[in-house]
Amino acid sequence: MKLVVLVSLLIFSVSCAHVRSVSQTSVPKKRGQVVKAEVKNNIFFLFNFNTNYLNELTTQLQDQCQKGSIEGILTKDVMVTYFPIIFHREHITAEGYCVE
Amino acid sequence: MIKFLLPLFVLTSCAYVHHTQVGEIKYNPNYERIPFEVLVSETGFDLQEAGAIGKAVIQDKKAGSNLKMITDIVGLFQMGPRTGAPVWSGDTYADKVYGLMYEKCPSGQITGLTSIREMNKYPVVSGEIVKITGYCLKQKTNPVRKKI
Repeated sequence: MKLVVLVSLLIFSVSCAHVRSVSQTSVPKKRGQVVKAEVKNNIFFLFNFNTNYLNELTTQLQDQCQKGSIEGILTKDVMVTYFPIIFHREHITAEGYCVE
Repeated sequence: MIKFLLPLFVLTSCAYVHHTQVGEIKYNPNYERIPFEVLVSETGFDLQEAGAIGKAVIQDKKAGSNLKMITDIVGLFQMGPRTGAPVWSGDTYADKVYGLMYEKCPSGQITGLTSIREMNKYPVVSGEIVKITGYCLKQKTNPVRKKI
């Protein structure tokens, strides 16, 4: 019984992150201010019904660089498992340079 | 038990993101950014899942095992890294995005492209989706003039 409790605790207290995708656009020679956008999506019991939250990335970047181009964007898509099956979190970040 | 679980299983659907990429966002004071979105999809078919359901539903144990064996053999031909479930039309369905983007933005001046590879998962079948959002640059009627 103790072993079962111990193994259960071990399984449920482990969190793992895995990178699903990474992409990088050309980095500009003249690098300005760093701008960063991120969206998080909590997933309970593997149920996720839409991906519209991803559309916020470009809006967030533009808000931080209203009079310039954003170049050298590194996009990282990470999935973190906090409790297997029960709770996951998607964490997508986009980071680039504002070139005015 | 199966009678209760099967409808629940059939009615559930989930969205999975496989890949996200944000492209460069250009700025020109003389142009305004008009957002657009194009989406192409194809039906995917999860043979392994179909086999598992078939095995659970079919009462005859031998027939169930044969079905599992068939799906395993077919699975051997679907090897290699992949996202989502296999589709019958190969990879050509994604080629349509160029034409669709041109329809949305005939000037061809496009910026801020976000490409998303996602999947809408249903039991056995899935919607294999490629979604592109971006901005079409349109010249302003009153362009900003630089001060000399």
